[in-house]
This record gives sequence, structure tokens and C-alpha cells, in this order.
Amino acid sequence: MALQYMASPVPDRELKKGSAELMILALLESRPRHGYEIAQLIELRSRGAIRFNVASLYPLLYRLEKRNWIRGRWVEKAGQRRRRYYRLTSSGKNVLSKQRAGWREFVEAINLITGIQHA
Amino acid sequence: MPDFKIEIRARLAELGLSPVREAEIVEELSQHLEEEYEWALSCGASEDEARKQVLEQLSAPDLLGRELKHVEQRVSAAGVTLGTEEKINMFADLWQDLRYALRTLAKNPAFTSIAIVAIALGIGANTVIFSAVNAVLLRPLPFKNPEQLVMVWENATHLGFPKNTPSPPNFIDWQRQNTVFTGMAAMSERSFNLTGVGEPERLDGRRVSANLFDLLGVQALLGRTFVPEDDRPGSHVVLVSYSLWQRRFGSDPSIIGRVVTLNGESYTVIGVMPRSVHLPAYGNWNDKVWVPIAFTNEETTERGNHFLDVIARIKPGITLKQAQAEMETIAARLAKEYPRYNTRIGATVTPLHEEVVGDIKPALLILLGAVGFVLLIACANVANLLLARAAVREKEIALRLALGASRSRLTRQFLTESVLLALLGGGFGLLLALAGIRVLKTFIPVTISQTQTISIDGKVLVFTALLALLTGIVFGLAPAMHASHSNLNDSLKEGGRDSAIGKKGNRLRDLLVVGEIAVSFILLIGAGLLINSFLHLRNLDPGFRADHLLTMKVDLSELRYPDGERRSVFFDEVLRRIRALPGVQSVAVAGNLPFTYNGDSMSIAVEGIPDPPPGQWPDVIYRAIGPGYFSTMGIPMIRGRDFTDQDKADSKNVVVISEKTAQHYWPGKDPIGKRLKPGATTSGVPWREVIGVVKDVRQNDFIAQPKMQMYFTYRQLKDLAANALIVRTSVEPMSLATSTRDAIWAVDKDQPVANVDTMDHIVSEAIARQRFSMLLLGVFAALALILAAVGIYGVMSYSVAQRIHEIGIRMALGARRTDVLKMIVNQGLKLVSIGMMLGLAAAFLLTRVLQSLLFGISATDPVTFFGISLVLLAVAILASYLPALRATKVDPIIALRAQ
Repeated sequence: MALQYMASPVPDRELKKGSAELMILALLESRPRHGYEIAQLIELRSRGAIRFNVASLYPLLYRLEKRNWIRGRWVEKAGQRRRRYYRLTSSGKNVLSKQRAGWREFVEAINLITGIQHA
Repeated sequence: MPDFKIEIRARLAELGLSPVREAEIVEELSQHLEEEYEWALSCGASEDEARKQVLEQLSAPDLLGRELKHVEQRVSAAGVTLGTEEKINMFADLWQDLRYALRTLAKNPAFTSIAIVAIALGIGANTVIFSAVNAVLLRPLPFKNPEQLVMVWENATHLGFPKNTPSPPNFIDWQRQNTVFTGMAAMSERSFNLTGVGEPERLDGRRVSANLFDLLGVQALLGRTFVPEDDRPGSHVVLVSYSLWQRRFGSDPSIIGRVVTLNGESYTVIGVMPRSVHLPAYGNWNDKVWVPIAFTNEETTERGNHFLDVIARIKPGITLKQAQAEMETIAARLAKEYPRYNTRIGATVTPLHEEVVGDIKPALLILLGAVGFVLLIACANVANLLLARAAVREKEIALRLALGASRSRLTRQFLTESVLLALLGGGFGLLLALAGIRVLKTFIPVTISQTQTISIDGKVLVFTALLALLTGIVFGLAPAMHASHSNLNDSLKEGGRDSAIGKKGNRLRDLLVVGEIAVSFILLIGAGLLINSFLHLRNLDPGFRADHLLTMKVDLSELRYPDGERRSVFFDEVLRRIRALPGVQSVAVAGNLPFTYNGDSMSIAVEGIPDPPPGQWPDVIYRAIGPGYFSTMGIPMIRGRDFTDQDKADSKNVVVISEKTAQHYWPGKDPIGKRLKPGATTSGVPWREVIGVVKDVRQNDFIAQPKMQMYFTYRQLKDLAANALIVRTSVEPMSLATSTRDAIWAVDKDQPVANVDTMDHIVSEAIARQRFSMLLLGVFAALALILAAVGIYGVMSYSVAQRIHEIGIRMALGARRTDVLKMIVNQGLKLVSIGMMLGLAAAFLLTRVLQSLLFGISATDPVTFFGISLVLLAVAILASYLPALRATKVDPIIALRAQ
């Protein structure tokens, strides 16, 4: 079942918001991408478990941009219309590595408690 | 494809975003939705289904708006519409203009950096000179109400001394009789030998009236200053300077009450003075100690003994003129009362600040004017660049005008750009100035007080900021006005090369180059005159050979060496030891060395010539020296003989005179064997026989004609001690400094040796001010020349680029390369010659202000004018030749095609 991010108010909103940020930063780590590509990749890599819609993805992108973690730039390529590509900034890289570590600890803690083992 | 933009825009409406931002978001989001729509279609959905599916994402009615509200910024209610005249948007406009200007500047790094460098050079130079003017001329002296402080002099203009040092009795009478001063204090330079604490040292110092520091409003840092009870003969109290206290007494706070040995006598330290006490002084005299002046009985009666500097404080409400008038009245009264000494002696009152600043004021003001010119040239260059760019941006401007931007709005946009440029240039200029000040301090003459306080303070910062702002407006206004007045139709037409902006811009550019040439011509002439004058100075014969001479001050203590005999014993032994040092050719005892002292002159009586009436006694400079002085200094002996060791206290009194003295008293006759004596014929002083005539030497002033001079051997003098040694060496003089000093200390380990220096250096210090003005004006003129050359080059390059089509046609029709070359160079030369003619006229008028700084040439020296014209012409030809050369390399085919 598709998990609609922020489509409706949910109790663990902050947790999800944090994870959404982490996902976007992680996806931009390897190269700059545009919004549609980010949404598609998230859906693809979560095998359809996580989906972003326009109304939640872009406000999040703009917020990350405002925090100077990512930077968007209009790029024109021959024969295409211009698109806005986002890339990770150096402070974004720092945040990503911190969030990654924090998330790993969190998952490990949850695993310890719930007894779920990695495959 | 459905239009998602409308849907998105509807959801953004309530956010009140700026139109630009809103358009961006709409574009980005609609792209996303369109791609999802196409994806849905490709998965087999119908158009209607796909549309619904996509729009579902926006279905929660306020979700997008709510999420964005946290992130996006609402703009002011009125919103920004490009090109409107709404006044409420001043700040939004300014902000927009600034960002736009930054973007434009960043897009043209070459233009931006050239402009910034030009402005930085101009503003940097101005900041450096202004900081010097600020420290030396504008900053008040560190005394209480310094504008009330004056110096009072005896006016003996008829003897060549408009500001002569008063004698103690005159000073005392002035003090008693005046009603215009709240106080009057006297001081007199005196050096002290400090012994008993570490290495013996000669200290500059002063005897001062007890009320001096009260008068100045300066308190002691530690202890107290003098009180009236200190001011009596036999008092042995001393104030020490901050630097001496730090250096020799380790800033010991318990120094008060300590007894120190000065000139062999014990003095009690009663106070330490603050760092800021710098009294006006001749040369590089730098007070380290002060003692009460405590006039002796003889001093208070010797009206002809002039050695005081007098500082006074004018009463509130009294003007300098009133003070001057009263002092003249008093002087006239004293002249009547004491005709022998005071006939024709007036009084001169001058502001203390003027005395401290000295004669550097005209030089500094001229330099300030010069850097102003440099900045003007830099401005013209940048304005030229902006004009050229305005022509390039013509289409952009026309488009914006067509879209409804007002001309004033465009002018503002252009001005913002130029002011921003100027401020950036100003910032870099400030950095340049920091380095420049450091360089300036190394060659500004040390004798000018306050120079060490040259720095960038608040006043300088404000000056630089205002200057940058003004600069931006000055060089930005013309291009801005110009650009905003372009003709829309012409500019928008394709290929409109000869548009209105182009033509008018060319005229303006030509005008700017003409101005640059004119201004740099003036500067070059000024620098040329100073350089020429300096060369004249350097070639002046001082009357002696300054090379390979080591000099040092050896002030003998009056207690240890009270008479000529004991001094002779000391010097004979010192000379014997120094003579034995390798590298020493000869050595002699000397009195005050040339250019280090501005005193020691007296009137003389000559046997067989009646004494002149009071007020008409010429002054003769005198020096106490030892045998061998003339040969060691390289002063040619014209007649007679030098002093020998046989000219002793108990032998016949003798004197050696200068050529000028001989001509004055015995014109056309042989003066050898004639007799003269200090003072009047009736004085009880014994006659002295003239034994030799030497060439005139420039003694006090390098520039003025030498005055009459005479020399005594120190062995025959009781009161006047020789106080220096000169050593002629066959090696680099300073390499013998240590061994010579050791030779002196081997004879008397407590004898201070000071001012070890070379004669070459002393001479060069004597013309330090001239060198200072010459160097700085030279640097600024060179800067102006470079900037002007860049300006000509820029305009000619631009002109060639514009005429490339025409040149192509000419060459296609058979014009030779030399024809094209000639045509372009001629065009440049036309501008240069107009500029030079204007500059020539202005230089004739303006260089007159230089007159006071010139020596040996007039302010309209034809050689300089002609030489500088050639230099400027050569540079101008080169600057237009290079673009012309490029024009000849044009391939006619390419040039014709490039439309």
C-alpha cells in the first residue's frame, strides 16, 4: 500500500518529515536531480511504498533550499525545456551525514527493542 | 494537454508571492504535473482519467498553499512592477537594482575588475594622502584648547631672521608687560649626558619655564610637573619622557624621588610625562628630559643672547591679530629702551600648530590636489568603460524603455551600478591605502611631527566612503543620463550601428579622453618640475665632500671636562686611537655639523672698520673645531693655514674665516693677519688674528646661499665646546662605527656617543622634504600617465572596433596598411593635442602653486614643459598605435561580412 506522505495529518508527522528530508538529501548526494526525478526515484526505490505528491515534495525542496542544504538552478539542455535541478550543498552534505548516523542509531535501537533482525 | 498552471496559480494566490517567484513555482510544478499526466496516459489511462489522477495531488484544497506559506516570503502589498514609478517601492527598487547590478557586474568580470582597479588606485592614493593631511594638518595638537596656543618670536627680518629666538631679558619684559596672554613660557634645547645607569647616553632635553606644562594643559603621568619654586638656579629636579621611563627605567612606577646623574650632576626625578608631549623642535630633536629653565643672573641681563623658544596662550576673546599688535607695541617700547640690542627688533606671533606642522603644509596640500587629479582621471576611465558598455547594452535599454520603464528609473538603475562599482573600488582602495600608509611612513621626513600618528581613523574612513560615493555618482551620471536618452526606434532596429547613443557616446568619450590628457599633463608637468628642481638640489655643492665621512656627537660633560685643556687631553687621545684604526684616513674634532643645528651666530667687530649702528650688525655663523677639520671634511683652504696643535689657550688667538666673510670685510684685499673679535670693538674680548680663508659651506640650510662663517679652534675657547667627531674613511663609513665608539670608550667609559651617522645621510636628510614631495608627486604623475594611456588605448580600441566595417571597405578599395595606420593614429593624436593644449594652459596657471617647493628653476621652466610634452606625446602615440596596428591586420572580407 502506498504511504501518502503528508497527504493528511498523521501523528508521527515529525518523524516522517525527518525521514523525507534524509531521503531527498541522500538522493541528491550522487548528482543533481529535478523534482520529478526525485519523486520517481523515491517511489521506485521504495518499491512503491513511499510516494510524494507535488503539494508535499516542492514545499519540502524549497525549505531545504532555504536552509541552504540544497540549491536549485534552472538548467537548459538542447532540445528540452528548462528544468530546475537541485544539488547538495556542502552544508547539506554535513547534515546528510549527521542525519544518516542518527537514523542508523534510531533504527538499531528500534530493532533491539522490537527484536527485528536484519536479513 | 490540460493547463495545470491555472490550477497551481489559484492555489498560490493567497500567498502574495513576488511575480517572479510565483512564475518560477508555477513553471516547476506544472512541469511535474505534465510529466505525471503523460505517464498516466502511457499506462493506458484516458485523458480524462489522467487529468483527474494528476489533479488529485492538489486536491486537499489548501495543502500546497499551507506548506509553502512556511517557506515562501510574501512581498509588500503593492508588489513590484518593473518600470513603474510608484514611490513606495523605493527600497524594493533599490534592493532589486542592487541585485541586478551585482549580477551585471559579475557577468562582465573583465570590465568589473578593470574598473575596480582604476577606482581603487584613485581612492587608495587619496586615502593615503588624506590620512597624512589628517594626522599632520587636521588633528589638533594634544594640548588643552590647542587653538589658543601660539609661539612668540623676535622679528629681525633685516638680519634675515623673521622668527628669531628671543633673549631672556626680552622674554621677561614681554611676560611682564603683555595683557593678551594668560601665560607665557620659555624653553631652550639642551642635551644631557645620562650616566650611572647602564651605557652612558646623550639625551635630547630642554630647560623649560615652570609654568610650561600648566600652560599647555599637560599633566604628569606619574608624580608632578614643575612648580614656581623649582624655577630657580641650583634646583635639581627633572621630568622624564614616557619613552625614556620605559626604555631606561623599565617603566618603574617608583621612579619618583629617584636620583639620576645628568651631565655629572644629581637630579631628582619628580615626574613622568605622557607619551604625547612633542614640542616644536629643529631637526629631529626629541625631548627625553625636562629641567626648570632657572635663568642665571648673567642670562637675565644678556639682552643680545638669543636662545629661547616662547610659547604663550592667548586669552579667550583675544584674536591673533590683537596679540600681534600688542607684542609689536611692546617690542617698539623695548627698542627705545635698549637701542643697542633691540633697534629694529619687532615681535612675531604665530599659531603653535603652524610651527609644529612646519613647511610641509604646502607640499601636503599640493599632493592632495594631485591625488584628486589622479582620481578624476580614474573616473574618466571608468566613465569611458561604462559609456562603451552602455552602447553595447543599447538594445536592452531600449527594450526596457519600450516595456514601460521610465527614464528616471533607468537612470537610477545605472547609478546604482556605478555607485556599487565605486564602493567596491573604494573598499579595495582602502586596502591599498593600508599598504600605502606603511610605505609613506618610511620616507616622510622624520622632522615633520605627528607623522607617526598617520593612520586610518574614523575621519579617514568617512572621507574614503564619501569619496567613493561621490566618485560613483560622478562617473556614473554621464553614462546613465546618456543611456536613458537613447532613441528607441533607432536602437531596436537590427544592425543599427550608428545609433544615437553610439554617436553621442563617441563624442562624450572623446571629451573624456581630452580631459584625461589635460589633467595628466598638468600632473606630469608638476612632477617634472619637482624632479628637475630636485636634480638641481642634488647637484648643489655643499662646500665639502660628503662621501666616506662618519660623524658622531660626543658631548663632553661640563663637570668632567670644564676647560679647553682637559678637553684637548681627551680628544688628543681619542684621535690618536681612531687614527690607528684600519680604514681611517683622517679624523678631526668638529662643532655642530652642517644641517644638524640652526644656531651659533654672532655679530663681530673688525679692526679698522667702525662698528655699524644698532640694528645693522651682520651675523656671522661660528663653529668650534679642531686641527685637521678642513682637510677631513674636504673643505678647500683658499689662503693661509689650518689650525695646528700649537694654537693653544695660551698662544695667540686665531680665527679662520670663510670666503664670503673675507669678501664682506676685506673686499679685494688679503685678510690674512687682519683682526676681528666677537661683539663690539669696545668689548673686553681679545682680538683674534685671521690665519686662513676657506671655501663657503652650506651650514644651516642646504638651499639658502651660504652665510658668512668663521671657525675657532676649540682649544682656545672657554665656553664653547666642540661636540662632534668626523672620520674620513677609505671603507664604508658605518663599518667603522663600532670600533670608533670603542676607541672613545677606551678613553672614557662614561662618555656618551650619539647620532652615529654618515655625512651622506645627513645631507640627504637635509633635502628629505624636497625628495618626499618629488617622489610622491612623481608616483602620482606616473599613475596618471598610465591611467591616461589606458584611457586613450580603450577609446581607440573601441573606435577601431566600431569602424571595422569602414576599414574593411577602405582596404577592399585599395587603402594600404600604412594609410589605415595613419588614419587611426591621427584620430588619436587629434584628441591628444587638444588635451595637451588645454593642459598646457592650465599647467601655466596651476604650477605657480609649486613655486615655493622649487629650487633653481621657475614654475614655467621651458625645458620641463617641452620634455614632458614629448613624454606624453610618445605615450599617447603608442597607446593609439597598438589599436591602429590591429586595425591594419583586418581581413577586408571578414570585416565586410561582419555586419
